Amino acid sequence: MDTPPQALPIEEIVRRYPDQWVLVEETAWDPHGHPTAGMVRAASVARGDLREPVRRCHHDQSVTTFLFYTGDPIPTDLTVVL
Amino acid sequence: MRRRGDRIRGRRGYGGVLLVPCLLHAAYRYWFLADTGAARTLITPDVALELDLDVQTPVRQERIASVHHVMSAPVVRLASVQIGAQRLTNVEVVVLPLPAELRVDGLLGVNVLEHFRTTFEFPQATIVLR
Repeated sequence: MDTPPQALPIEEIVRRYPDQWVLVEETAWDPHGHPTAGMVRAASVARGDLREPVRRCHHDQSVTTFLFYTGDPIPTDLTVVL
Repeated sequence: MRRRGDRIRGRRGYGGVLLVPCLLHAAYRYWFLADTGAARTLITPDVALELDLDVQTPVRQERIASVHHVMSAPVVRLASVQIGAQRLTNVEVVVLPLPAELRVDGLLGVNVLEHFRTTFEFPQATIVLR
């Protein structure tokens, strides 16, 4: 039987999944509504690997998810000029 | 009475760009890059798929000028975009891929920011919406 994922502080998720895209089901928020903790539903170095997990996570469920990259969102050798 | 505004803590990326968490459809949160040079807010095709948006039957196709190209891209409508406590409904966004090296899922453009008196507090990595 699968063990349900444990809710972790966002900082701990960043520490446990370095330089990965993570899909987090939010479980706690600060007074401004920003997530402070959640359960990791999927993680991968490839962004595309999370597309289906996101859809599954929201299927028939009223959840809020936070999808983000745990490392530098902009590589430190890349200047953005959009 | 003067409104104090909603202060949204973001984060800085390399070069000082400001990233802001955006909640789409009241359930999907992603980091967007705040971009006052983008007339329209942008989501990536990944996000469009995750939100089950129909990009094959868009609201319309729009000509998009980026730094080096002019191209056509689909425009779709989001039920809602929320930044902090500020929520807009029926927001048109363009669907285009961003370079894979940018680990963000969208651009927060003028068609959202113009609804507020928007202040960027870069040292605090904060955007204030009044």
